[in-house]
Amino acid sequence: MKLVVPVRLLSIVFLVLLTAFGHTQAQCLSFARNIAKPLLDPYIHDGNYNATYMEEGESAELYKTFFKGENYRLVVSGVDELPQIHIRLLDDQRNVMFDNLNHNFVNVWNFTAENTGTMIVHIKIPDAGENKKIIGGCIAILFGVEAEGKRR
Amino acid sequence: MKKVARYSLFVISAFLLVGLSFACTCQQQKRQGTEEKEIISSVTIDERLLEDFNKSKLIFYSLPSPLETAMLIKRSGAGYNPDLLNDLSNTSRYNTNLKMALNLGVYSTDMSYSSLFDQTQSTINYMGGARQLAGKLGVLEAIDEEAIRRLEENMNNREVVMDIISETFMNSNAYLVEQDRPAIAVMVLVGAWVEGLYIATQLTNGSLEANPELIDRIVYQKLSLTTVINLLESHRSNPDISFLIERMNELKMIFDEIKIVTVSDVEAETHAEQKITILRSEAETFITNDTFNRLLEKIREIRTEFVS
Repeated sequence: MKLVVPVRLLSIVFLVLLTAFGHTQAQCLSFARNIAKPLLDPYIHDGNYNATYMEEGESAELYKTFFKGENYRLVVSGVDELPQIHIRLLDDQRNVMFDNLNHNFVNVWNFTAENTGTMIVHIKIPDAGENKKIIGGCIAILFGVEAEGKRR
Repeated sequence: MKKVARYSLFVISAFLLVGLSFACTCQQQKRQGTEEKEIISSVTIDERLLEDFNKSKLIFYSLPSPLETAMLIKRSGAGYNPDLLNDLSNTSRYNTNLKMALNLGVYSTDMSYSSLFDQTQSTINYMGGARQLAGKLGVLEAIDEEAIRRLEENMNNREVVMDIISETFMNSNAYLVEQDRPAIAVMVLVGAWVEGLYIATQLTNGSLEANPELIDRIVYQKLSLTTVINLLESHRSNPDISFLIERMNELKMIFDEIKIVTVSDVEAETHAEQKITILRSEAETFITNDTFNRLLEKIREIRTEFVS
């Protein structure tokens, strides 16, 4: 009967984990909607949802077609606990077109495409220092498109 | 004791199941290995980038959203044709996850197209249709009554309307991902993309010459199709997704006949003070009348299958 206590404990831990994971996902939507999306203003969010939980040392890529003559705003936002995110825009040959390392890790940038092409947003959360606890949290990669009345 | 042991086994199995579901929860996948190495070997890139690239990473595929597609159609100078929209009376016929998801995407594009051309009542009606399908898919909260009320109150403010539409589209996608139904979320995106392509191609009236800018937008959907197929491939185990992959590969066979020739590589011109980078490149496209006609027919066929 001594096993009953650990089993009950395991069940509780399981339920807590399940709830916490659902909560984390819901937090990412909330984070994308309330923290990242306002940074797109005055551009209009295109409606695509690209948000997830990431940890220090991890990287992600987003593939997107930029259309000729369109103006885009890119926002890459992470929760405050995460370090500054390294953002690069690569062309389809993986040549670096923009690197936020040269712009003080800025997380909002505008792009104008003079021709149509597939671009890659490459983001990297810097590694945690040695023997340091790895931190994780939500990140969102959102695109805005310039609204009709605001086009140059 | 046997009962306790069985219960322990159940709990451990449950942990493993949760662990597995944590591993892949949305439209992204962790990639490693040979495929990436093959791509890398063909180009010259800096070493740090190579190091990052070789590590396991998350991949997102972003398709032109319904709103962006509608903007592209409008900016090409094309007009509004209500006869192209999917009839809302079809809603009650959609009773499978595949049909509900595809047509949630279709209605999202019809709603965006209507809104960009200031078609107030049509926009509200399609928001209602999208809400019904979201409810049937179990994500009713994605398009709540408050969104419809705000839409009705702000119909004369196009930017607010676009914001509401983009928010509901994001919500639908996000709630499906949160419910661990990423394949359904992908179906919504594909339905929306095909509807945009259908509207754009139909607006050409079968002519390659009448609206060159619209033709240009259609031709470059060849790039988006690659993204669509990559997105679908990441959920290939789902039978409905397999069906969609087949259809998209049929479309790809025709798109492959279209040639996009790069004249000059992409060059970036960054203006740090304005926080803007201009991406310059040159390319030429080649499409024959025969290819265009078969493309129109294939898109019409796939779209008919989606909405029927």
